[in-house]
Amino acid sequence: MENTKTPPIETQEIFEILTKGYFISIDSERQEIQKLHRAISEENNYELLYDYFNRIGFQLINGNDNSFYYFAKQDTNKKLEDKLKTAYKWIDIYDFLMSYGESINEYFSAGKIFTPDNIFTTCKVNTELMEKLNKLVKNSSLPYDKIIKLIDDLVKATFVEEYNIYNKEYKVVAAFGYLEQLIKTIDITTSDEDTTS
Amino acid sequence: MTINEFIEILYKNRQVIETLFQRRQKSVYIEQLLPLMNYDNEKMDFLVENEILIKIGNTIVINDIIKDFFEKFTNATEEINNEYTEGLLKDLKAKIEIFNEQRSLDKKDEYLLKIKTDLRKIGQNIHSNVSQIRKNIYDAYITEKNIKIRKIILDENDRKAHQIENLIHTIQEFIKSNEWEFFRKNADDNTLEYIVTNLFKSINVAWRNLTDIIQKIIDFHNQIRLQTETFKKLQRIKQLKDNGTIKEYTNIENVLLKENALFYNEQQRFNYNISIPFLQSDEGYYIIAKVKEKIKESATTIKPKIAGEVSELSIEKQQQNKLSINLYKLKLQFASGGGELFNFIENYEFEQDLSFDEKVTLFCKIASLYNTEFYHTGEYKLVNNIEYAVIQANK
Repeated sequence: MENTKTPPIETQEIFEILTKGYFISIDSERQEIQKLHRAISEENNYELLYDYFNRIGFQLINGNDNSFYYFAKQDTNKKLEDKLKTAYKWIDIYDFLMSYGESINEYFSAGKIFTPDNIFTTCKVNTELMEKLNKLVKNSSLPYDKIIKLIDDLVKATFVEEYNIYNKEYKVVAAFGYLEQLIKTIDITTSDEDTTS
Repeated sequence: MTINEFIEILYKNRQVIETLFQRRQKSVYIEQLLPLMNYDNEKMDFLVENEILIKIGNTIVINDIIKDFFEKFTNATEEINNEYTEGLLKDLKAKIEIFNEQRSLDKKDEYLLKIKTDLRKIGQNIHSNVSQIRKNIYDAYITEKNIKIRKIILDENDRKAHQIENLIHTIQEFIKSNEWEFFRKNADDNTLEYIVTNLFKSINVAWRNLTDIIQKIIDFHNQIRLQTETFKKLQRIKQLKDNGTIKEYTNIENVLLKENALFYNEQQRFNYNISIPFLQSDEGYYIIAKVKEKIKESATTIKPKIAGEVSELSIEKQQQNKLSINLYKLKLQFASGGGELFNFIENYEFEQDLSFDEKVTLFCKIASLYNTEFYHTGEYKLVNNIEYAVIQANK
């Protein structure tokens, strides 16, 4: 029966979003994304779409048990150095956000709702965090602007979404789990606890 | 205020308090309450002054302490803990003993009824306590973001769940005991059997729920542990990255070689030609018209060309060399004064000092610019090895 099934009508939209390197998160606040997530996770659509996209060279990856989807491409000629650069950038950002979470006794992950002011207030009383922020965003001058720039990057990468524009609230969505996965897949080979030289 | 007075106040105002208690989830306006008090404003003020009622804007609520008291009292759910279990068992045993020893049938019935009520209550209590724990845990997980508080709530509810387990074990053992068996036969009461069957049903449901709850607590604890571990790992990775030893001490290169997520790529671009059948359609025509319009627009708008950067050096030079001489004014002066143009320029008092060469240039400029207005005598004169034409203002 499944063999005769055709891909859902949202296939084109899914393709367009995912080829931009974006994620489709289960807990997105945007209706169009919710619709796409449903279209993928419904019935046997995931397997169907996986096969379909695989034939044109894209792997539809299921992250964290259907929490989010993204594309991978086997024959990508992206250089390792460039990938490392991107990974380093996100390790820094992830570290900053997790450190922020740690300092307010929370685990910064999907579902978290925050405002730039929240982060700013914590940075003001936590010099370590402020230093991290300064290293993270070097261009703009004021710390608050740096936080805004950082959030922009997160929104562009579809890790974070606008939640309530009137209160300047943002929400971390499931795709943020991708960074956690990345950290989990990296193995540290040295047993040396303190590697500062 | 004495207890007596307090109870009296409550009693006198029982209608108002009852109404407020029933509507405790909604806001009640003062105007809605006044009819119940015969429009006696003083009475209302008295209740507010004594903090039995609390005024918030123009709404009235019942004092939280009194509300809690009523809630607890009317729901009559008791928290299950080890003391409760111990007390309950002692109480049951005592009642059974009295029942067994009692000779008067009336008294026997009274105690049987008491025992049945107690047993029925246990089932209810277990049920509401289990629900409470489940609610607490989910609340802690959904609304409580603070990891430390979360841990405390989890531990607290874990303890409670185990106390309920303890109660269930105690009751199960007791129902199996000879003591109970003897009582059951002695009482020979159908409703008692029914109540016990029901109690076992409740216990079964509670048991399944508790297993699930305890599993959830373990999961949540594990989650917290994993989160802490992930954070620690992240910090180590970040440290290695900052030290520049990340490639050496981790498999990040391997991970990224295998990781082909488009997340690492720039946007995919697809170039394709538009199909001819499409261009022949109405929609295609519309798009062609639109593109044509755009081309037109871009052709009519002149794009300003941006010059290269001007070096500071050349700006300085320009400032030094810039001669602001109004040639027209100079010409007018010459025309009104008369004489010879070359002499005029040579002797003219300029704002800046001009060199001989600059004056010659100026002479040439004026001579050529206003050629038609002046008169050339045809003579030539020699100054500083330069031969110049004699030009006069007019004939």
